[in-house]
Amino acid sequence: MELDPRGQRVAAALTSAVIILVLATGSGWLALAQAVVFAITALDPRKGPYAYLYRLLILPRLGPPVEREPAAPVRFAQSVGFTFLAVSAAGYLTGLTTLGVVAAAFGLLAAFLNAAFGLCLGCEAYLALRRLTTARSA
Amino acid sequence: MDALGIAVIVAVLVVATTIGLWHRRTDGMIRDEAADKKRRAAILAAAGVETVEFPDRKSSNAVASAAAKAASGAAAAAVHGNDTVRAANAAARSAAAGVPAAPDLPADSGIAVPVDSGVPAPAGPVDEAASAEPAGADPQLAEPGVPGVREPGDVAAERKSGVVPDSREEPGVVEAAARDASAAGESLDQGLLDRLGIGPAQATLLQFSSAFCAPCRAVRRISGEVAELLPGVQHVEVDAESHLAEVRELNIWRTPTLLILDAGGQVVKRATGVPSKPQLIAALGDVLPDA
Repeated sequence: MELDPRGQRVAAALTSAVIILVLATGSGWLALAQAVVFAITALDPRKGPYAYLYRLLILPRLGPPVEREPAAPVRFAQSVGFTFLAVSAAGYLTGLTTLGVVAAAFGLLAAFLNAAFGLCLGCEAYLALRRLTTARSA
Repeated sequence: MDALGIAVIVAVLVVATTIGLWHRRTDGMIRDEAADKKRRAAILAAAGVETVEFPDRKSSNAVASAAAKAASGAAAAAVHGNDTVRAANAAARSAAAGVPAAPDLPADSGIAVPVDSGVPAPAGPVDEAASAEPAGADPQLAEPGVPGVREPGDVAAERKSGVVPDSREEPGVVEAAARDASAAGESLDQGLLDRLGIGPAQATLLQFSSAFCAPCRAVRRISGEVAELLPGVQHVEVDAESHLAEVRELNIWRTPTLLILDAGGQVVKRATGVPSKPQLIAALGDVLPDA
């Protein structure tokens, strides 16, 4: 499965905007909605709500993509995003506002870096995590 | 509207922009392994941490190449008018420390040359030479050793037999090692090379990739093109996840990481991220023997 990288940037920009709204309003339900969007996109990046918006509104104006990128990194990043926003939603909705704010802040950091610089934070950290979480005897 | 939330938004955006700009600046920079090692050691020394030198556990071939490398490093330092006594001392010290001497080290490994040609030079140029030739300049990096480094007899023999170790007459490990004096990165043992599936070549582009790594593809394309363009260069791509032990050994934290190995199996340069094709070709120019 290959994806249009521009679509991912647009999705990341939309995600950043939504998380900014989450932080500004402190709405746990909005965080939950974004978590659901992440979950759907992680399962199939082409069926993600933001991907639909991209194909409907932006792709017709841009023309077909010059190159495509593999889906695995995108799906991984989306599941990282899901984790953060799920924790954030849980925090806001159970009254642990600090937890909600911190988790949403990390989600915003990752989404904004992806949108503005095309840098996938989860992908960068992936190997480091694998190194730290697996036994040294490997 | 939540004041705390707004503050957090602003803080995160500032941090993210900083990270992004820094990443853009440093991504794909090809750094000299020897210079890097030196810098790390300097930082550790400044922090008051002692660096521990691990004993050499390489095959005899690797020891030979390391010794020859130390020798040629000292020679290079001498050529640049460097402090030869210091380098020679370091080599002698590590030899005295009980590291087994290379059995198949040729007699004319060139370590004594510095005493001959080490004409005192003004301080400025010396420093420049030192930074240009990190291996030769840094006694810490001088690999274990050559016995009898400063014996006068050797000096005389050296004078007769010529100056720099002759790379054309001695094919194999020593030739390759002697060719590049600036390589003082990690020398990989044969077992590690085998596990990573690296065959012999003049230079190896060793790429570490992972499944969740979008830029790995770009590095694969660039490295493949460069390997096709330059004779004697091979490109080996390794899945980092299935080689975690080697990943630890080579101190790799991110993918893509590209290591440039010379013919002697030494890590000469390292790039994290996506280097540009011209940068990569230029870096290989330092590693490959002069055409």
